[in-house]
Amino acid sequence: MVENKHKVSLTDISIFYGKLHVVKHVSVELPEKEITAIIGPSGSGKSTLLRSLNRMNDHISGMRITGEALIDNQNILANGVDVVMLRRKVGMVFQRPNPFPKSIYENVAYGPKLQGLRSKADLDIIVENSLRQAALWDEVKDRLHVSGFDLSGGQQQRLCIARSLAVGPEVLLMDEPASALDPAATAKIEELMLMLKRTLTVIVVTHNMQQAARVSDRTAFLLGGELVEYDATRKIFTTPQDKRTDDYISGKMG
Amino acid sequence: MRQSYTLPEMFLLGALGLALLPPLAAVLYIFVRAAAGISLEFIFAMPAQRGITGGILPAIVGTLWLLFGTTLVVLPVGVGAGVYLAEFAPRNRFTHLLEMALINLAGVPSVVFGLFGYAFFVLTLGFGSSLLSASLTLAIMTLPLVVTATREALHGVPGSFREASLALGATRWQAVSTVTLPCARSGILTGTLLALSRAAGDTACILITGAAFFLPRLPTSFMSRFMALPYHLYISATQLPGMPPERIWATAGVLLFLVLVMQVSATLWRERERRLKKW
Amino acid sequence: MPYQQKLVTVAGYTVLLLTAAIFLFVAAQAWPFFREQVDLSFFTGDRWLPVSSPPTFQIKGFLVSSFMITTMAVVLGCPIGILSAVSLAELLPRHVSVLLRSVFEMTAGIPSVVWGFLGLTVIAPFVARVFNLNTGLTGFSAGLVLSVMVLPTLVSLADEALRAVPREYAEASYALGTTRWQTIWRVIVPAARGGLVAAVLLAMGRAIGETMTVLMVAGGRLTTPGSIFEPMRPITALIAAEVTNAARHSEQYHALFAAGLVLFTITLAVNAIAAAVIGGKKEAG
Repeated sequence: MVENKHKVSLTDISIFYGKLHVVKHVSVELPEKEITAIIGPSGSGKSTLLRSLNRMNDHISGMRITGEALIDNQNILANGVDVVMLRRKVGMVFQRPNPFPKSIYENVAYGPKLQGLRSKADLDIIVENSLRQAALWDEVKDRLHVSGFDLSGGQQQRLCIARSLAVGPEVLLMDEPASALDPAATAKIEELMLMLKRTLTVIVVTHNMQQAARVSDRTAFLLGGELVEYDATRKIFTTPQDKRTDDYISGKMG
Repeated sequence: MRQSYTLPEMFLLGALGLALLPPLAAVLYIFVRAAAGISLEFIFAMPAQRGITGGILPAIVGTLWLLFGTTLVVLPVGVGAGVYLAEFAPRNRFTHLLEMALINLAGVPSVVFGLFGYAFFVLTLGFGSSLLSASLTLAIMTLPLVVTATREALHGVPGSFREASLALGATRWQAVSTVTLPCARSGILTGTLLALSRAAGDTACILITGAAFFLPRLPTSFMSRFMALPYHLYISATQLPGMPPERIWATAGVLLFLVLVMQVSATLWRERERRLKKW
Repeated sequence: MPYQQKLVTVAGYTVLLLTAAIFLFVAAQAWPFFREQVDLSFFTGDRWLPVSSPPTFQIKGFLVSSFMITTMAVVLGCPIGILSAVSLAELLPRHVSVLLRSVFEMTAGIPSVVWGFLGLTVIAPFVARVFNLNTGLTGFSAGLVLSVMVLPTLVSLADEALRAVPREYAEASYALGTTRWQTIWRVIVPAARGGLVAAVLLAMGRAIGETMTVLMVAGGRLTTPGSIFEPMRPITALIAAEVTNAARHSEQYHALFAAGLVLFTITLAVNAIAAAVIGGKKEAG
């Protein structure tokens, strides 16, 4: 495998909720335009780590983070960082589909409008492109003005992906994006992820090891907040170096 | 499934019946007695002969002015404070103090608000007995209701909407103004409508801050004295021996009708929104 | 911080400021009276004589009246209110409860002046006839009307407290083979105790502060009533009846604000106790 340049590199990241040490000294480098999966049992700090990459944890009181997180060689944890700009660059898709109670069109146009884009023609183009990228356009192009809630769960999740794409991110964080979906919808999301990595760096937290094995290029295994092992997905799933990784992926744990 | 009840449970249901009977009977009785006194003239004419003939138009219009004035003040301040408490207030001692103030303000009797309004707006600020003094006083009285309704409506909006908005690069204010506030809009408006129905029926505040019994003209500005339905009812019922009873009942009927229309429309609207809401 | 966020912050601070301002302002108007007052006769005396010389201002009669009427309203209203709340929360099918809650909410909106009018024209004559009194305008009639008026507050708060009890408690109880009746009284009501006490306290606070009904129905005699079947004047009615007639900065004016401050303090105390009961329960849970 050709090694892409590093998009995200974490050095000695620790996250605390009050006195609770949730993520412990994690250092890892994630290549550009690949899919990295973060796996691990519940409570291993996967989501917390993911959410620190667009500073969504900032809104939790009592949260403290130490270490260095570079995206394109800029430390996103530094004090002066504009989190609004950061989140435009680092998009996020949540566990449960969470479209706004607005029309499909308004959902996708939401981000660009926040940035001050008003031209109907420009918005139309962005909405169409984003929906196409999220493989949803053909299903909704005739009903862009119905509520996002009228879509099926899988479609709602792709709508949320389109909504993130409309802002033009370079990194997409996905927090168990298919855990609330049925297998058919899950397959569609996975297929979509493989298309997205042509243009984006994708980091996905997942409970589902088959999913990690199917879509990701690299896998990080977190246990109790510690990074146990990080390697090419193929290696993690065939010849794990650590006994605990082996136990986890073979189902003896969590 | 058909519910069946044991004898002691029937007793509980009886208590419920007993609780509901007086207010429902009261409403019905008032409307029946009011029917005799209601006419187009009664509603749309100026009063004459110290209110013994003519109509109560100035009292109706005065109450509408009061509601308008109260809304103008309480809506921005109340909704603003509710938004602050629900979305921006840090969890600290100061916010706790603010919450306590809100609870206490809600428990203050309306006559105490009247007392404050009288000393502060009427006398100290020199607004005199006027629509302005009364509206400001009613706005303070309804403030805790509007703040609480706003805060509860915002708390009812799923946190995932807020998160999604922030993750798309919204500032905190943008997340509030473009997502959570629009989602909470109907809850806020129905809460405000309910609060205003309180203001429409309140007598103690306006009795002290500027209502007049007999003014055969409509208010011309917020500095005018004014007639208002509840005050009109109070005076005609207690201080005017010569007042024909059907006119008093009719005044009570009109006031009750206005208040109930506000209440019922707020309730129906809220139920409708609750059914339509998909989150 | 965008200016809109600053504006809502200011609005939030306004609520706090306003509450403090109201208390301080009423207290400031009452201060000249208390400064002259060397003993406790304001609270213990029975003479309210604003126009005699020298005038005397003593509020025992009004406090006793408020106490009598409030007690009667709460004693009558509580059993009915709490039993109604139990019916709503535990017995009736959901859609019926939802409808009835709206009806209660609606009755809460019936203006107190309308209740006062009904008390004056319907209840007072009825009370006079039944108890063979010279006048029906007594504390008893006022208490009767107030007991109906506090029901919506009482029912909605008690209903809320009962519904806040986790469903698992009831299920655990049913699983042990108890009947619904036993479950209600041995599990649900005890678990909701704090909220029910708070509901009663807040209903009491409403009754104390109620003005128009007592002004119109209680009769208005200024001395301490010997029984609830006498005409009387609660403290709220005193204020409403006299404040606009008192010349600004006259002794009567300051005395009325002193009475208002007492009323304010009583309702604050009732509220604070209710908040402490609810808060204490939360910490324990």
